[in-house]
Amino acid sequence: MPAGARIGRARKRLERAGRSTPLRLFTFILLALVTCWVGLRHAGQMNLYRDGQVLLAYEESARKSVIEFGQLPSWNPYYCGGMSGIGSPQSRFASPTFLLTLLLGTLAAEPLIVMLMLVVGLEGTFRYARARGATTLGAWLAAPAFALSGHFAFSAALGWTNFLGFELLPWVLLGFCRAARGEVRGAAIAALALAWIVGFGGTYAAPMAVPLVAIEVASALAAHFELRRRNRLAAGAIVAVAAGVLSIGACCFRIWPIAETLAQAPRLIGGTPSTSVRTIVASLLRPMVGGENGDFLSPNGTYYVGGGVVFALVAGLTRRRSLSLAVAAYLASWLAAGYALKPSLFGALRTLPVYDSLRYPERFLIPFALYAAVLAAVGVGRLQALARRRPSVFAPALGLACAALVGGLFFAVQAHHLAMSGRLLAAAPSPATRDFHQARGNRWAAAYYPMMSRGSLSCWDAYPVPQSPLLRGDLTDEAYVSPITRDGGGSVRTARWSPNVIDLNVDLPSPARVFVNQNAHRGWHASAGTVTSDHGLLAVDLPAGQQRVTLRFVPRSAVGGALGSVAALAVIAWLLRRERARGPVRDSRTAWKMLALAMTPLVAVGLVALAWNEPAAAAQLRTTAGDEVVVDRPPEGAEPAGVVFEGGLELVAVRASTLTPRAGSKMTIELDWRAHPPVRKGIGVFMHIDGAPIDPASGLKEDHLNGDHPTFSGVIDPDHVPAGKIVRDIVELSVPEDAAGKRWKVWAGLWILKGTGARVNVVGTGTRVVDESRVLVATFEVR
Amino acid sequence: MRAELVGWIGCGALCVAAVTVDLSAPRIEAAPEASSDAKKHAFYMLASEEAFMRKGAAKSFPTDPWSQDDDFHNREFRRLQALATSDHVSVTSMLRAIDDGARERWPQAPGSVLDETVPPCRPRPIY
Repeated sequence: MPAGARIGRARKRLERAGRSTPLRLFTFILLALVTCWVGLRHAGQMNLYRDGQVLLAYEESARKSVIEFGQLPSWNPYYCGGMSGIGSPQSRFASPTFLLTLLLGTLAAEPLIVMLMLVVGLEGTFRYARARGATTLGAWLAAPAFALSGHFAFSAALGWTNFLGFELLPWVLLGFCRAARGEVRGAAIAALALAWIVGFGGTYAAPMAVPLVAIEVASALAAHFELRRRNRLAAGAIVAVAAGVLSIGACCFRIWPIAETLAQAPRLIGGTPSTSVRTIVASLLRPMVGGENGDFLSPNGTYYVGGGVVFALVAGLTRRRSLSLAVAAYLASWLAAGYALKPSLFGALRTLPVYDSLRYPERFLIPFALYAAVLAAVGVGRLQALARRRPSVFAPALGLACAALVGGLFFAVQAHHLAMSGRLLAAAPSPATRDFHQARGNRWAAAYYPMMSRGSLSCWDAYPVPQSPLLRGDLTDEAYVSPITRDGGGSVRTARWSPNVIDLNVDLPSPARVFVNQNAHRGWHASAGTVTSDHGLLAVDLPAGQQRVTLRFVPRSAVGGALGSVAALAVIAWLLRRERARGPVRDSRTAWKMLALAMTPLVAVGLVALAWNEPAAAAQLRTTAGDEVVVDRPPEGAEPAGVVFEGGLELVAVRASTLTPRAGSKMTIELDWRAHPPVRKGIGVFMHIDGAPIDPASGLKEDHLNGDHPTFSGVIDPDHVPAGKIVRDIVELSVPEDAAGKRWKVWAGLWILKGTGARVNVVGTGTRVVDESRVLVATFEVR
Repeated sequence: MRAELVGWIGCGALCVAAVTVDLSAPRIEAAPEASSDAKKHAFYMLASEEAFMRKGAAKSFPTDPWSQDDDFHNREFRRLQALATSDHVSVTSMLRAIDDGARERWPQAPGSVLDETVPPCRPRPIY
């Protein structure tokens, strides 16, 4: 048999094997197993990387709630002094992978979760590529280029397991692609995939999916338009909208609690992050450089797709139907450049709500990797077609493209092994069974604390977690009578403690406020008295007498959201049954009916919101010391300033807590601001604290401290200053030990933080010294 | 049909293999728990070094209380790991020493202050 015929037969066999789901899955599972080998061989060990510690702590807290207390992990008492578990954006327990955690334990389950997500990504990419016109062979060979791409290696190594939610991105796009063709099944796939992403803690994946979905739907509808199928075009558009509505409904169990959290504690992001084209190329194409102790200092390979896809990708670009994929890939890479390219698409995206909290533009290289993989898959199909017509020219090209894709697997797997080998691991802590207490804790070792039956007050997350300054880490009982109302005596004792339910034995001679050493949340309810928040601490105002008080955490957002999601699943099940009987939606009348039905879960959620009155938790606008930030007038002792800046802000008054601080002590510098709307967006405060020797002959050196900050008191963006109010921007300064003998001048002004970086001009100097668009706020001498 | 069945059996076998590798992975031997005296000594050491470590953190972030506290905890954790390594005891027992010592008011060096509150979380908007 001639060589060409033999290759043809082998190709056909491969095509047949790829079409068989179990055979294809077998290869994908095998590939994922090889890729995750290092992680699996280190299973059960603790990743000491700082972010990994926090994310492990979230998962372990959820596991403890279920296994040890038989409760849903709606409240997490083990971190930051207590926080909503379901409303914490980065926790990942609300996804099917949590079953593995429950069965095997948090540490042992993690490598298997990574492996499972890789398989999900491989299969999703295969199916999405097929839906976009790739052949079985092309989709099969190119799927790993996305599913094993560098960011998944990087994320798994840093313990950012929730970033593997991006593996569901092809499923989301596949779902919407099919929904726009009128398939209810597509709407179901999209809704379930998005629900999994948000349940898995996909703070980037879900928002980033939305613009990609818009491109996907537009592309599918354009195909209808091109074929002049007007009725199907309208039906497809309506079914796609219905898929979007159903997706929101399915995600309600998570979106509502997270929205509640972020409304109370908005994530504030400053700066103009940018990624140079050189860095983008290096992170996509250059091999990964192993991290030391989990830190990846080089961008090389952090989004690795590899050169193996390039040849097939170029072939894919020659197909007309690939245009929308190419456009999507281009837009993803433009977004990934951040502010490095002008105009900045990322900058434009950040003007939208939700997207204003995205920090890292380069993460758009993850969808870029998906489009690159799909284009490569389409390219293989293109070469297959050409090879049939002109085998002498294109058969070798096809062989070369396939060989490059297969060869690329080696480097992809190697990147995973390299990343996982660089982790700093420790022995799993032995769990302790003892009463729960809040400890001062340590967020760098956050995962140890749930296992020690302790909560860590030391806290970090990507948003300012609402934390009470009254939390303490040394109490012998986590409940106590408020010192202010304790004049009449009284006692309180924790009778039974669990994450969501706390029983207190209370004996009060007069009405008093009882504190529970956890953060307050609107979802806490008491069997007696009134639950309240005292400086952010959970408190109950109780009448006099002996009683047992039960506190329960039942937040409206979690219950109402879960109801919405269950309703969405019921609607999806009904629609799928109907589709099985009648086939896909081909006319707009049926599509409208489907859309109306898809709204049902949102109506249910709306009804819960109306019927269940839960007082809204206001945003915590306080300084770290607990002082109010938004006030009616500047505090006593503040010196009037009256300095007016361009961009709608006025520095009304200034104050320094002392003008003769001691070295090593703390002092505050306060700037009181008022807005004259409209306020320019993207402004930040710069503060220069310059020290010069009082006696020039002393030999002391000049010194400079930087107090730049993008928000007022760390809680309000300058463009969010409430009209008619004064916003106190209080900077706590730790006076350096070597500051003595120097006179310090504090200069402050505004600058374009998200943009040019230029200073904002002063247009009215008021009563202060102004020099080079900065105001002399205070002069102090250190003793 | 037969090929499909073989495929599914193969998938199952690979999953079983993955779970087996995972569960049989060699574990790092956990260091023993520190004795009561060793914990008290560690608490004494860490409490007496806290002020120095906090000063270092304040120098790194002179105008940001949360970052100062966070930086202090990073220093504290590294110190505590070093103590655990030198004493051949578990990191967990060192973390417990700080917690138990603060709660049970174990002896401290004169002048050492253990801060039992934390400034609320204010992640830096720019890194």
